[in-house]
Amino acid sequence: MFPELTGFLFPNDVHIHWSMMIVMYPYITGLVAGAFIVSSLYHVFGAEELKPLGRFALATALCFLAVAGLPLLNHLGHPERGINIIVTPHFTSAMAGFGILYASYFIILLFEVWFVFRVDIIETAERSTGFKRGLFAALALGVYDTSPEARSLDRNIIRILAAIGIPMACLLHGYVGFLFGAVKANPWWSTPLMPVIFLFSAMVSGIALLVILYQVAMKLKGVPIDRLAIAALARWLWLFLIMSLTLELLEIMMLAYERAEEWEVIGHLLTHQLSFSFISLQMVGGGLIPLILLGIVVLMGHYMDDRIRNTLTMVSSLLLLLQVLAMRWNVVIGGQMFSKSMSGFRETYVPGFFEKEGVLAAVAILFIPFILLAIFERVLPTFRHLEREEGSV
Amino acid sequence: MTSENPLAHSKHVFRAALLLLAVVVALILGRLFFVPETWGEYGFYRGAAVGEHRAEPVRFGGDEACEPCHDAEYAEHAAGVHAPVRCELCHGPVALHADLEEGEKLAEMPVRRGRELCELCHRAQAARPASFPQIDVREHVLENGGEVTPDACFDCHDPHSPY
Amino acid sequence: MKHRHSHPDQQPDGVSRREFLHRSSAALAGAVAIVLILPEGSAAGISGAEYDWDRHTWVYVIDTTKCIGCGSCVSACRAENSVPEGMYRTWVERYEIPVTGEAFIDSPDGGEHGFDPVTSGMNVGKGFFVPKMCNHCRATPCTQVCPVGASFTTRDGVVLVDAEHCIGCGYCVQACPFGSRFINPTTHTADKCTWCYHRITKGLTTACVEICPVGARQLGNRDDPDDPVNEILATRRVQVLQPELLTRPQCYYLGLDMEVR
Repeated sequence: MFPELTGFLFPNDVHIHWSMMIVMYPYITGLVAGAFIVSSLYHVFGAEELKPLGRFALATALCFLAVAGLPLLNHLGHPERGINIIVTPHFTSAMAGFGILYASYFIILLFEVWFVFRVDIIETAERSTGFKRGLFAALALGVYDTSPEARSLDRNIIRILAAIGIPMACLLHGYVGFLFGAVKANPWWSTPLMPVIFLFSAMVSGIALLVILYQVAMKLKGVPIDRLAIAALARWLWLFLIMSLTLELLEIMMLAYERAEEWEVIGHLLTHQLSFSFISLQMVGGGLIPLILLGIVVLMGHYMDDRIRNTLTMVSSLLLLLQVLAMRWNVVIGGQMFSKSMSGFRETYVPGFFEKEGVLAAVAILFIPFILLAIFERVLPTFRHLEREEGSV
Repeated sequence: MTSENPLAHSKHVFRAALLLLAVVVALILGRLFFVPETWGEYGFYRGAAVGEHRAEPVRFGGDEACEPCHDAEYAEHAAGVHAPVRCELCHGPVALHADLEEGEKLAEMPVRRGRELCELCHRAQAARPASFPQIDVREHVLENGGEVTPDACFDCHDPHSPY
Repeated sequence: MKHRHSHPDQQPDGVSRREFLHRSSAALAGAVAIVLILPEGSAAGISGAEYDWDRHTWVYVIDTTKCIGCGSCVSACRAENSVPEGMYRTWVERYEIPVTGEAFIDSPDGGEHGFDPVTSGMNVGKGFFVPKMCNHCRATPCTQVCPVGASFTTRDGVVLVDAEHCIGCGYCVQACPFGSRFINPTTHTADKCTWCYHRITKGLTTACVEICPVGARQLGNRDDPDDPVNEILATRRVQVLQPELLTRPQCYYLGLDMEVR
């Protein structure tokens, strides 16, 4: 019945309960956290060179956060009871924090977006008629105050919200790492490094996503790509990639060096079941190569033609999106490739294409935020402030 | 500029804050509506769940459940070396066969037959306690001049009392 | 206070009749009677007639030196609890350890259909069967991680799942170090051994203990000094599974080997 099993597995351990959906969930929240940090680098830390992306990064974070819960709902045996996690949150469980963290972060992000785009909302309301006017008037909460005082107040509130948002984004994503890191039954998950690794890889994936989206958006709009912005993104990406790879390697090396009981399982896992997704994708193809490419961009940037810089960061970012996906896969699926008997393995796992939690569902869920982003761009253009300089945030 | 009222331009902020407050209050109140009735009766769980577990049907009745109708077999079995082997081990749970409350027969009693049944316990195994009687059925039957058929064991042994 | 909320302690007829009526006909008659008294899904919790959960702390003893690996417990559990095919609330593992070399371990179909002799022809130094099930840990990681409080420990020490409240996230399945939990493909909720809670609260024992032909399995009440399991726990050398995880399992094993995890 299960020809792909070797060794001795506990009879209930032959199933992969946490599917593609549980791979997608940390992937998407990671993108959210990373994109949000980029907008905060500008709004809070005054990274002026990221100004062209300040609004876009925020909109991206919101659109991805809007679907972050979908893979979880699709995974639940009883999605209709999903609300129980807010109704009766059992706080001895890390997972019970989900509802509160998710809701709070969503609220903060929503308000920050509102304050950032408030003037645009008002202007749109004033320009339009009929239903559209009503909609935008409601979005503006009926207050049409665009005075310099109001704008200055907005700027202060945005800075505060962005500042609160940083720890919140870290919490929301660190929490995902915590979910895995705190499972003492699973030696591949159980390490205090897990939340930290998740956080840094989140930054990597979020920044990489923005590099790609920004370049594509500029191409579509026919606007030249901002050299300083790309250079800054490449710098940040490189930094977070170095941190992320270091931590990921540290974890493995520590286990290998300790030669503790876990290594018998994990060593086998990494060299057999996960050899492609871990060594080839996570470490070499998606790790080492972008590390070198971005290193070139950062260290030799002064002598570099814009097109080469753009291409190198684009390629690195694509590879890094793959790297982080591979990392999520290796954690979530890898942790279920062996039995808790510690003497049996599942040799392969290929998710079905059409099944409920299969590849198609995963791709579909990942596609939605791009549609949302396109709609958002339609309703509230995120790059308009590039054309109109004064007084924008 | 000497502002006459510092709050003059913060109307939108108050509206937004009010909206947030309304949402939070609605969430907190709405939550209460969904909490199950017996929640927290004994601990952080739905108290009624305990009763629901208790109310699951009992299916295995023990040898005593068989005696009222099958007293001869019961007596024979109870006196033999297979006494510790429950009737329901070979026959299946009594609930499939009879409604004890009504004293009514529901269906024929299922029975596992054949040498596979005997072999579950008596086939020679390195992992079985050495003191437990175990044989290679083929060898055992041929040694005793029998024929290796699916029901070979029953040619010589009565499963209710094998010796 | 409404009656519904009455504390089990306040039951006037609390426990006086509670003896361990193991395999006696009185117990079965009692069981049938209680089934009738107790409405399906009753909110009465555990304060029903003739059982007081404050006077019970259930423990389980497994003697691996007695187990013959017939697998009857696995099929009895399936029949008693409607356990879906391919899922196991209890299972039996076989260990054959050669004089030199790697141990051979297996559990085909959870041992439900018995074990064919190992044909590899290795020089077995020691061999034994190990029945496994939920350990109903005192410090259980599974109820800890349930995000909605759908898994809990009853006052008499049994770890249960509320299938009406469970959202089916599977976190408890991941958190159990013993592989005792699974997602029930019919109900789409977490499922596990209940120590036959519907039986043990009616004076019966669990289906697996009931059916075991060699007495390798025993369920007992820690709070009853006359219960035979207390004698075993007091005088014999017992072991639990994966003690290093500090989950405080309540299934105690006799004759466990280092190969068993």
